[in-house]
Amino acid sequence: MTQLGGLFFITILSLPYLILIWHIPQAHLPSWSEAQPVLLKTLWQAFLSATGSLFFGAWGALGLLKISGKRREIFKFIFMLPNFLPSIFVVLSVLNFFQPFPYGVAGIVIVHVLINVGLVAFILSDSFENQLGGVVELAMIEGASRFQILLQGVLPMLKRDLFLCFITVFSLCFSSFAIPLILGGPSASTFEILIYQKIKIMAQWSEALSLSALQSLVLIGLTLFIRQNRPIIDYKWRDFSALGSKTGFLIPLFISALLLTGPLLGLPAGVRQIQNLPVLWDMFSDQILGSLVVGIGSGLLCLGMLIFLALFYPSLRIRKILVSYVAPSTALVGFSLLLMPEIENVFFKIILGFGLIIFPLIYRLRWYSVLDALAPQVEMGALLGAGPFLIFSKILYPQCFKIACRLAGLCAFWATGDFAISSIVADRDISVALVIQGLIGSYRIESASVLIWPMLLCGGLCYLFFIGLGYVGSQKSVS
Amino acid sequence: MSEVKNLYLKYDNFTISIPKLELLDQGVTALCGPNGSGKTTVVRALLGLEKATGMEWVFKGEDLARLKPADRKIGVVFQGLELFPHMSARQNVMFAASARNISKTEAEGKLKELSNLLNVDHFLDQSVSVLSGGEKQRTALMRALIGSPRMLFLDEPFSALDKHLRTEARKLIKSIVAKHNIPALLVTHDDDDLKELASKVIYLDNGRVQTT
Repeated sequence: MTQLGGLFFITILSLPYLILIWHIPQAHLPSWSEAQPVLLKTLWQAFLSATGSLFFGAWGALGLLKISGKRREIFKFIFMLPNFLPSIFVVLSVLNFFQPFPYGVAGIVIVHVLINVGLVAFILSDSFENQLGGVVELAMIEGASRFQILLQGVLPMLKRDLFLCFITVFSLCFSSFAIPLILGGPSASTFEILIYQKIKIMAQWSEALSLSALQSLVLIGLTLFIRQNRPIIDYKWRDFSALGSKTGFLIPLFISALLLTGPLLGLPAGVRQIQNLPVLWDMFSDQILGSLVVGIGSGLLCLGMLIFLALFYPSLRIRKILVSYVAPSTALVGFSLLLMPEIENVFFKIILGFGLIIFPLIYRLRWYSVLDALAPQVEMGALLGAGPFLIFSKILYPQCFKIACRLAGLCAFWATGDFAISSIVADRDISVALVIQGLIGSYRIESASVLIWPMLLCGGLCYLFFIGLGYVGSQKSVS
Repeated sequence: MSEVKNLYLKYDNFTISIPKLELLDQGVTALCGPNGSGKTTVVRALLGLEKATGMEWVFKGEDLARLKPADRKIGVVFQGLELFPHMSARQNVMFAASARNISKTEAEGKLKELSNLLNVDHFLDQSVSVLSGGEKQRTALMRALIGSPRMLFLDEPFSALDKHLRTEARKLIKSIVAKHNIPALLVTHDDDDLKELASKVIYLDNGRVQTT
């Protein structure tokens, strides 16, 4: 039953591929002369993004080592904020700050670095805490300088962690779609955009399918690298201050502040612009409602998928397959949904598409470790003679429903900011994010800077809805 | 005496190879050996958690190896105890009763009997997350026993206890095995456990039975 449930789930996640293979029996690779420059550009931008993020992120991680106790955790949270913001918010922030903005590969790299510096600082500071142990303290007692500790201790000990961190950011940037879509300029700047153009402009579906399959293979290969983790030993209590950098934490802190406050810059001019666009306000209530529907719907779908996985509690092998699973390209998912005339409702299409893309990330982010941690209890429940439903209702649900709701809330928050899937599937501006994308496209950055706040509010409300649901649901499980 | 035959398991760099193993159907059979000798793997195979193709385990005329893990009806206390942390001690035990489809009245009767035997009354309604090591262990024992198992498996159950509590726990196990007349398989590498509890000792090294 659990195997069947897991396989059914993997089939659902692979739905876009199955639809496309059904409709397009033959897949052709595009000519090498066409694919090569885009592939090189994608690799180049991903390499530069990962290198930049690693450099500044490592510096940020050293900065975190100077801060101790709870303050370090608070700073880690602040550093991670750009990763949790919807892409459109980040794009708008940088467009407000950098004027004129360097559209193209340079622009994409800048935004990728800004987003991922905090993530790298977070991951590496964990690596420092978990892997270095007492070496830093010992080196400090022996009288080694910071430079010596870094060069002869940290680099050799953490070269694998640094490499994995590089690969993580590289794969994120390699498959990035939303940012290149807005900031990439007119020519295809990444593989994802080439897939998008192959379908939307050239109607070459078979080439798009083979490109997406190729991209997924590369990403699966990279994911296999990332999963090979060492056991974690918590050395947080050790004194790492000898290694820390006083200035390191300033860079990610500045980036978080920049990305969080960017749209405020355009706000005064934006308000004046918007006042001259009364038509925008007239339709705005519909778009607010649209954003809420997309957000709540995506969150509910995500919650359903998480609960389904808990109910059918897949075997370790299926759990490992799921954690290595890479979602198909955003463009491919969007266009595969267009090939399903049976689904008429545009909101349903967006919710389904967004769910299929975001779920693997949500699973990898937390759900995998939640299910893994509960494995001994599930095993014990089964040994005691409990069936799957009793195990779910008495062991899994009470312990993981709240976490599932939090993850669904995060999914809902991101969904309200989605414009990638929405712009492919929807034939009009059905959500605030789509209006904002339209305004950015026509260089009305200031107007977009006004509308981004209601969008963020919608996301916040959706998030709170799921937090509330988690609270109510967990109370019910207690009673 | 129950007889296990053809217990073979192969991993990347480790093999369990036990052509024959005899477990007592009264008293305590101890399975001992150094770390990494395969003791826990043997226990997991007997429980049905590791697939040992071709294994037979004839217990009172029935081949348990053909049954699903739950149908083997073995009470087990793992080294980590694996109590459900969001439940109270009572809820942990009652979960096992409901998993075995024991009626509520019968389960409550058994719970009362076991709680008297194990002296757990004073913490029965506390969350297991706040219990001491010894209290947790007694809860795990109660949970293992409430389903009236045909055998009790104890996988290094004393490893988390201090010296004083270990002595107490050994006495407790001894009295339970005697009072309920339930055979037990004890995994240990502690000589005191062997002296105090074991009626028979099986020594395992590198996945093979050395002496019994």
